[in-house]
Amino acid sequence: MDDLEIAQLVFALVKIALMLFSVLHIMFLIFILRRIHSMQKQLSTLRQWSLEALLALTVLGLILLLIYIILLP
Amino acid sequence: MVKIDLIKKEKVITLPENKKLLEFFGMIITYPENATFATQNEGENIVMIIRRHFIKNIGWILNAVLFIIVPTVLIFLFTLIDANLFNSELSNGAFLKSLDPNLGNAFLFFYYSLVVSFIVFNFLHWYYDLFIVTNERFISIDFDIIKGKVITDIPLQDIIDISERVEGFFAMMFGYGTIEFKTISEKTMTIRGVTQTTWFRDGFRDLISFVRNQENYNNPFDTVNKKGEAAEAEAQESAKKTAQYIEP
Repeated sequence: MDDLEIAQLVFALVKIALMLFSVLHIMFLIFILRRIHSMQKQLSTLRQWSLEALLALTVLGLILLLIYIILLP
Repeated sequence: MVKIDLIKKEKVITLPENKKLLEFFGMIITYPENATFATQNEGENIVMIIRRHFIKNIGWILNAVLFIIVPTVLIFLFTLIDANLFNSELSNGAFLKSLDPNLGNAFLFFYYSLVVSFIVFNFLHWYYDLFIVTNERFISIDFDIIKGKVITDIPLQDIIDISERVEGFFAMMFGYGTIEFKTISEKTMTIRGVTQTTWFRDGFRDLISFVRNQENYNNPFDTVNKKGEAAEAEAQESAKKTAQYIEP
């Protein structure tokens, strides 16, 4: 195996691992979002829209990242 | 139930020092306006909301800062070592040249999304760990993203033996500590990392005494206080009679 072949193998492995972990991370963030949303009932003064917005943005970013990784040659 | 207006009027709980600052960091919020909570009863109002001291977050904040700067430091160190020790042979090698830089960017983005999750995860632990004191009860919400939440609900009349502990260098430096109390059913409740522990212990104890006295006073079946009142009236009557005999 020459350097080019090793690099291609590493590239493929990293790509698959990134995709897998991105999906897992998205699922985890959605789980946190649902938990946060359920906490609104506990106390009305909890200002959680900013946290929800941050998590939603991260999820959106990760979905875009997933599409980007899939589209990579 | 003791009305919140009466508690405010009687100044049972005085406002803490640096009230605005404490409210800004969400550590102590007294008499929050229009605040409601899940299991609120009719006529029940929040007297104070307590969170752990903000300084308790310093550990994960420092970690987060470290995680943010680690990629930059690593790239800088790699460039430095490569340029000085290997005459840029590492970065110009066939292996690194053949790797797609876009994948590196994607990896970096993924890494920073993990850092964001780490920050949110830790912040939530602090933000949702709440202690709510109302004019009727004490509610503790112990929140954990993975494990779930534990909500403890104790009527104020059932609380006895409140103690305060301020131990350690940081606790004394930043003024936070632990409040412990027992209930009449022998259950021990611990509130860790509370700021202004003396103010909290004093106010909490006064609130419990006030609520207990008011409830007993309004209770038609309470014979102890009624007997006390009757005895007091009898003593006054007797004193009047004695005064009549003495004075001509």
